[in-house]
Amino acid sequence: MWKGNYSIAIPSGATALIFRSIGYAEQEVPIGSGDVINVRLSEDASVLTEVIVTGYGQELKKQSLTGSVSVLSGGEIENLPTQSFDRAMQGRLGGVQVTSNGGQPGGGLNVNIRGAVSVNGSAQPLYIIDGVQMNPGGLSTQTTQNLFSFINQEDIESIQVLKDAATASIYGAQAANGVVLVTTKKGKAGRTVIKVDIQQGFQENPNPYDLATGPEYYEIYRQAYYNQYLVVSGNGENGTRAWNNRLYGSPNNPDPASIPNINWYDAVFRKGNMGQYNISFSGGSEKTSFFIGGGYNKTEGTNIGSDFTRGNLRANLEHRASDKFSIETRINLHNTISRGPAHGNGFYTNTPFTGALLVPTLNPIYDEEGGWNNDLINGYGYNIVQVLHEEDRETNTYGTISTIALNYDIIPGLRVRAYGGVDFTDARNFNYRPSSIPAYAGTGGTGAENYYRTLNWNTSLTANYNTVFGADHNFSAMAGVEYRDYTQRVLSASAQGFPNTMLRLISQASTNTGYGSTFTGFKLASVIGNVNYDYQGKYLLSGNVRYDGSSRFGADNKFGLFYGLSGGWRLSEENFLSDVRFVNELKLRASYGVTGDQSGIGNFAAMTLFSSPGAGAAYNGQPTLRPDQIGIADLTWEEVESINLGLDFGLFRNRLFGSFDIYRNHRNQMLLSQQIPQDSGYGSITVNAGRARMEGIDLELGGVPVDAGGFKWTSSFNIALIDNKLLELNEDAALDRDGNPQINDGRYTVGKKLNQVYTIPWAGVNPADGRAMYYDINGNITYSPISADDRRAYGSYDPDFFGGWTNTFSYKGFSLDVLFQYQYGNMAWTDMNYPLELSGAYGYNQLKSQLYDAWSQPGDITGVPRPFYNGAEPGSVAITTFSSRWLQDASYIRLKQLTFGYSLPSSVLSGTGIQSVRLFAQGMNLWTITKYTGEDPENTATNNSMNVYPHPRTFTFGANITF
Amino acid sequence: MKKRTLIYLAVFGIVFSSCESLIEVDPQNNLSASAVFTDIDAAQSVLNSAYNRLIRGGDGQLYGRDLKLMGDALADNIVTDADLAGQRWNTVNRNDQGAHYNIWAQSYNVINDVNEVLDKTPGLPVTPSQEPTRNSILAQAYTIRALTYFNLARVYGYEPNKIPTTGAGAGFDRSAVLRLTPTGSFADAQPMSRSSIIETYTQIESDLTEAISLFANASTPSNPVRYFTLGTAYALRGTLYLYWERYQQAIDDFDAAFANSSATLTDDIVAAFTSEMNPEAFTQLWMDWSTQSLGSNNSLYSYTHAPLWNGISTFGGQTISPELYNSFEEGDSRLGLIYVDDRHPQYYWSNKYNGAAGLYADHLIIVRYSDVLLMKAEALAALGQYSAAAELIVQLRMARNASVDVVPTDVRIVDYIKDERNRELHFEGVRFFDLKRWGNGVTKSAAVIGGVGFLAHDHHRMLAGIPNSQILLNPDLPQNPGY
Repeated sequence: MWKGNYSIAIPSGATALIFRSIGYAEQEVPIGSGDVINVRLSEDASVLTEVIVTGYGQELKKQSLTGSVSVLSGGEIENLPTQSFDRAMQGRLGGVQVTSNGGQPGGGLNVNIRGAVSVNGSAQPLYIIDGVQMNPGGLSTQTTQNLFSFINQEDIESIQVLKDAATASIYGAQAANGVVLVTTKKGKAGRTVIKVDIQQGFQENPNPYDLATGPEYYEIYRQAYYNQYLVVSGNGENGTRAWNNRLYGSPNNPDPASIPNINWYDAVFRKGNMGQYNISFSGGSEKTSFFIGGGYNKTEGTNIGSDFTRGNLRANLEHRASDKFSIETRINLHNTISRGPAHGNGFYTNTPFTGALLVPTLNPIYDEEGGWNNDLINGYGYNIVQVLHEEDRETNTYGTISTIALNYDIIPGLRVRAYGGVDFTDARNFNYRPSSIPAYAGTGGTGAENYYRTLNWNTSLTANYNTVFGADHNFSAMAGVEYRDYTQRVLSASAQGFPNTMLRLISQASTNTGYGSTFTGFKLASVIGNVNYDYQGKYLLSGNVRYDGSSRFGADNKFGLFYGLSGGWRLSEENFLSDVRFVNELKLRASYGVTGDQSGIGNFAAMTLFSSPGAGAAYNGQPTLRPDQIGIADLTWEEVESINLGLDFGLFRNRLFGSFDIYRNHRNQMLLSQQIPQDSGYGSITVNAGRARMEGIDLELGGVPVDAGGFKWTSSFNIALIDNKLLELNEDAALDRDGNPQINDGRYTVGKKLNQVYTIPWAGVNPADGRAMYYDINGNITYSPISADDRRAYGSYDPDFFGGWTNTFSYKGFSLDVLFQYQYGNMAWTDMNYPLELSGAYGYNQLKSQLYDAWSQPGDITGVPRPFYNGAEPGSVAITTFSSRWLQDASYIRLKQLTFGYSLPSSVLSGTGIQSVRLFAQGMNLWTITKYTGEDPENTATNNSMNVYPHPRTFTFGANITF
Repeated sequence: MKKRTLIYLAVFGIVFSSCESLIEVDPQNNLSASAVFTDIDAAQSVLNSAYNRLIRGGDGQLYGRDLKLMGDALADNIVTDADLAGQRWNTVNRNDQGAHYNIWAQSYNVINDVNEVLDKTPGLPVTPSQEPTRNSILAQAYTIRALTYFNLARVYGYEPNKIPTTGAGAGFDRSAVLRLTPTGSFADAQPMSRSSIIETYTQIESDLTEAISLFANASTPSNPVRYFTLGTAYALRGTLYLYWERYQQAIDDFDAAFANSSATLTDDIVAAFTSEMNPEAFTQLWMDWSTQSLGSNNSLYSYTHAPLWNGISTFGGQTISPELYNSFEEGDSRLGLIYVDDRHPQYYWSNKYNGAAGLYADHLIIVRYSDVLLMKAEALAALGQYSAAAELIVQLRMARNASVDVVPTDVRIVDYIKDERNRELHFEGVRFFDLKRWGNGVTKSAAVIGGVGFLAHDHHRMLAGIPNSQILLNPDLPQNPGY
């Protein structure tokens, strides 16, 4: 909080004073009779006055911006009970979609900016943390651990998303999917401020499925066996006997009351506790400023055996050595430990979600002596509760994300900056499966350990020049060179045959089963330039250029040129609008640019290579050389060509503000996996072949609808409408029925939206015989559709629009924050329903509906086929045949966040030395409106959401104390 | 200060002026293709890749699992318990549409490996003393290519004289895609169409003939049973002729096979299968159990032993059909390889894959003595030499401690050989191919619930479908009828 004194001579006739300061809301105070007018400005919620960092240390007021940038200030995500900042972006930034594919705290996420779609590229933005360029991902081979969980959210000053190519093009071949710039906090000259944040809470997962009880499980399968034997052999009772035999070794029916009903779900899932604790010290003198902080976060997952622990230390220092020379450094040290069950999606009986749902509920968890019950009926050899208790899965990462920059002002206006930043991690992945788990008894227990050492650094030398000539012409330019180097080495070993389950180190086992030492990496060298010009702050022009060379590109195509041009016109500065009092800001923007995406090219994909895969591929103890891939010498980046038109406005003293952007991106020379005939010895190679169009509208609206009597309501709303179309594919892509090239089973078909869903139409259940029906391509009912021919298009995995709506209500010391997020129009599979709705085909536990809603006699109208054991009624395709039965519209609205806060009045605190105390309670993922019956409509990042448990419902309370 | 900045700028500028080398990264995991074939050891290393793929290709889609066992599930030897098996091969056992061998991609990976060897090895510099080694490598490569094409031919196509005249596959004479040179670039990978059955058989014959002549002047590796040898090449060519119904040539080759192999007929079949090296093996693919077994997920051991039998985790549900079990007479020593698991008393289990080479690992026999013996008997019987055929069967049954007075010496020996062949070779991957080449269809075990019951020879599911992606890529391949 700045304090100052002023004195001003008031001309006669003046009735009011207007106070303005960057970052604060304008305030008009009537001139009364007194001599002293004290004001206290409140921070401006309007984004128009923010300072934008556009990369390479350049700062720009948002009103001078000519490209498309969304901004999230650190204050908006402070105190959120999330483990990584990328998760916190969902719903709060226009055009930014965040989806996740797992329930592990601190796990990986997908972030898509403006519906970026790439068939083979990651479509993920480039992240730049204090200048260090990072690509999203993780280092865990045991669970999932997001690289960005290494950053403490509380250290973040702001997050900015460069959305259009004109702005992002300064990052060239890495910028096509947008750029996320994260800046951490720095100290301000003045007294030392100590901040302490404490937060505690818990999270839980309500079971989204209505599972059959033990007796119901028995009955579903009894009917399924009965029906199968009746059809196949004409004697249904033999089926009942076969089922009883399987369960009890006797053909007699059991007493239904004797069948146990065990709740496995509750044995696997729990209320996970979480806590985060942060302390920071910031301040400084005229010459030196500092922000020093430490944090600790411990979050238990909602299933047993899963947790996330992070400790981190930060020191951000700036020192002005002379009036020409200054030094900046930002140092972050972190240790993150993620423990948890198997990662990834899909059908694994040794993972908690599938494991807990699919095990028949008539199985006890414990045997009669209190040990683990491993005599499980249809349990596939795993007592999931035992596995989660006894198996070790851990990723323990130490690292740093640190930077140093030297600035030297050669002459006023000309500054040279030398920058170096490093992201270094050492991740130990450890897995131990003790022999006490029967599935691993045969091997005597197995252990695997690996180290991922990653060194990712970039350095740049840039020169900035700013000048004003002729009073009205503002000119600035930047030029420089940059170099990025990424290397990763993995050292691994695995073994089996441990003499004692307490001994868990690889060297203690009897047999080596594998060892590895691998390397990968890439390098980028670049020349960059930027020019900005404006006339009277009214007419704005900006240009970027970057020339990138990449080790990933093919030998014939090593270098690429990327550029962007943008212009703006601030109509609000024009005389003809000066009389329009309610318009405070009005700016038109236009931009055009070309960026690249090299993420779809493997590090060495352009080369023709043999591999030597080591012991597993050796023969008779002799080494192997194996044809590995054929490369293409002119392989190159995907190119995104983007046009953006925008309008920024601030009305009614900036009580209503926002920006509107409309864009069209063409994604050219898309990297596609070109199927080649398998009889060539290879399955596919990567080629530049496709072309797609993405277009859309981003709207961000903010305002202060009510500000009266101490009550204030601020609101901000964003919506992103996206549409896309595939324009071209490689010539040799397969053709669909209409003769359009398509790949990936129609997911990408020329002339259609990207990410199409193709599947067989489900026609329900035949009321006459209880069998599952489908439609063939002619619309006729069939029991046995042909998967390749009878599929139809069912929309896209991509939404039509999505966004969020944030509201803050404050009155006196009280505040209430409410965030809704929503998505509309995307299709998603209910993957987890799939094994649970198989009409007793395969032994898994089933939903209650498979018993109570199933067809049982002619005339029954139902969507659930009759129970039938072992997969397929004669003449029908297997009940497991994927069809539109498990496809749904996954639109939703979710109350993502609700935070209630109270700041103690300063009267209470006076004399305590405490500046402020804020207490809060908050809940996350509290309420969702959706027709989707899968576990979570927010979990549709991949098209396989099986084994992905829902976003937990989280409740926390905490305090922020400032000294 | 200004000067220092300028110096720094200059240094940076110099560094960046050599951009091309700045952005070079050596792919340390890999070797550029042009740097591979430097000497004869390199050829052996590439050949090793092919051997390894035969064991581990895919999830065991070649000899590691499917070529050893899936045919028995497709045919009449196996009753799959879906729950014990974790649904593995449940649909295969019912002969559902598409539930069949899928060896296409993995086989062509092997073929591309040996095509590299066959293409590059002749150009390598060798000293006169290395020539026998070079010949050995080339001969093995030809043999592997022939065997792999033979597998493709019998999985995806009919035998020359058994093309159905009725049904979906009437007159269908397409077989493998014949690629005889390595794929070195995208340009080499152009789509090709399938050759005819005769063209494919002729190519296999030619490769084996080439191999046989090279083996004549080749060195012998140490532990020859772990490699393809002259005896194996003869046995395989004899097998080809038997499928081709060129019986006399088959008999000649089988005789040459016996003469050029150390394999013997054992009189202790249980010991033979529970020893690491089977004395009846002409060639046994050797796996290092600790790094190469296919584990609980995909190994033959796992598929043929019920979960937690002896405390070992498996997906075992492939059991011996009651009909097969009942075809043995009491005292037959082959029953020693069949056991009952008390936890599942309704089933019989095969112990042919018992982890003799280590946990989840058995060295994989490519040609076995008794198989050659039975094929020779079959060829003799086909030529009407019933008593000569019967003599061989008597020889075999004596070694198996089975009665010999039941062996007919007239035309009934033809069918008797077929039954004896299954008693001897069940669960070794030949049953489905045998039934297919005999052309009488497959009568499924009555214990299989559901499915086709009887798979007629002209039913399209006698052939596997080619992966759909390949047809989308090249409709003229063409796909097999009915897929």
